[in-house]
Amino acid sequence: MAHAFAHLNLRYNPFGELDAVQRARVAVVDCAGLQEALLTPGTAVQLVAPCGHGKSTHMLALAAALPSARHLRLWNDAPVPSAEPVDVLLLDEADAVWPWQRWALLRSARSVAVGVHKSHAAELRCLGFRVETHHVACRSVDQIQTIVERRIEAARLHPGATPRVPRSTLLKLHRAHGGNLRALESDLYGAFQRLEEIQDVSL
Amino acid sequence: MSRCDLSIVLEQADGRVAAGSRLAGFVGVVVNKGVNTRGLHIQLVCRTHGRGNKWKEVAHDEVAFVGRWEAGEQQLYPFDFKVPDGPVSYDGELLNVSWFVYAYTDIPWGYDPEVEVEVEVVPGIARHRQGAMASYSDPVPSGKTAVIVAAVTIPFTLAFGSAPWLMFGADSSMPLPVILFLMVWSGLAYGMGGFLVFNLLRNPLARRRLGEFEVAVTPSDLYAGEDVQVTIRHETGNSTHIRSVVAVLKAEEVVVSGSGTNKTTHRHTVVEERKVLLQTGTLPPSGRMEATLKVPPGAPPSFGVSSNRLSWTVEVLVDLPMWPDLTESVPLLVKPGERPDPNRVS
Repeated sequence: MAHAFAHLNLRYNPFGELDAVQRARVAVVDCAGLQEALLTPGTAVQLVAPCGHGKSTHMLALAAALPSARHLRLWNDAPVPSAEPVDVLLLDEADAVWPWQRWALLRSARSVAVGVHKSHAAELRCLGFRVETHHVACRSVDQIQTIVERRIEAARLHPGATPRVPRSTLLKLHRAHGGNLRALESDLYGAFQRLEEIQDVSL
Repeated sequence: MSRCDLSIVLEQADGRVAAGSRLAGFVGVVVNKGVNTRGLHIQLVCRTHGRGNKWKEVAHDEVAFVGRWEAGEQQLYPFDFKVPDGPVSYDGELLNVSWFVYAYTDIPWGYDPEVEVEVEVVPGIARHRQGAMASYSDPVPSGKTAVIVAAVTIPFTLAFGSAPWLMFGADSSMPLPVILFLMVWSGLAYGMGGFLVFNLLRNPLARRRLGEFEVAVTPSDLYAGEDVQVTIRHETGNSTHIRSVVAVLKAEEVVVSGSGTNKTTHRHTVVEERKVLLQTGTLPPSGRMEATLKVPPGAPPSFGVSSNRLSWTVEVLVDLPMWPDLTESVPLLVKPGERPDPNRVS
């Protein structure tokens, strides 16, 4: 059967929502340094950025690189998981819960990585961690290009041509959204929905 | 080169299969290097993709082989699945529902080769599954509940909005930035509280003006191409001036992306048909209005799973001059395919 995006030689819209496995596969992050830091007990790595800038993608990449780590994503509308002693805890959306719930989880690990919107360095130091802060941001058009190409490649149906997002479009997106990858993906989702044939994507 | 390559061949060459029928085929394995497998899994999977969070359901999972494959070996493993009664395949703007035959082999300490082929599941005859297709509309609190919630919200809003003024005191010697901050604080608190209270009380207030106002939609479950009858019975007691009464048949894709603080709801209207029942006039003390709306032939059926739904509703909008409007929403269940012929023996 023809896929909905077969005319673009794609299996799905590359800029739709991905599941955790797909997101880890297409992640363009260099987490070797973070991984090494987390292997030293007593370290807290905090990934600081506003929504949509890639904190969760970094967390997924870390989870893939450290299979023994406990990876938790906290929602403010879901129960908070119980604290279990672990070597490495990856705590995404750490500021979505009450501080005492977060402290209980953080105390259960020897090293932690937290994804937060604002720095929690003082709090982490109080809990006895040595803090390393990384401001997550997608700064360059080259990096955005790699992310976009990887997304399209992951959705490829057959070998051969697929739509291309030219540099001029990427520059326009970068000017409009800066490092907000979620907003950028949202624009590209709409553009791919409108494509009728394999061509360069313009906005 | 991977240790083995997988391929899928379907008996249905065009990849189309009716819901509730059988889907058969083979998974081919070409072994490049001798390998042990913990299991060759053949699955029939339904997935959503698009703007909303993904949803997946494995309808069948069959382990076709466990053991060792030697280099150069070529094997065919047959499968024969009964396709569930729904949901059917759908390609929309924000939401896609797709079925796949997916095969992978679990190789210890190694990359797991995988392959998938999309299958188009079309409506079966006289079959439908209610579960994933249940009709849905956004919950609206009943009149009594809305009044109670509003009664609790009003004092909270007043207290929250006035608290800083009471704490600091409204003093003319206050620095201007502090006064501005307090004004913004109170403005936001009153604004949000007022918006919430207005939304809660809109329908009860409109009903108070309209008196008995009953909306009935028949049938509540139907097929594409069929008519839906909207009947409004009103007993207002006295003549009421009205700007308009409109019935709207609407199919909408509603998907949620992200979660927690990043949760965003996206909406896309697939079908919208409006019928004006009354245009700027006086509603008599009692009476009845009727409209017939048609679900277009070939329209997509209802669908609903976590974060992804396609919902059909009939909305009745009563525009009252200088008074909150009434919005009454009735969910519909649109089933896939055509109405089964009662005389046909399946």
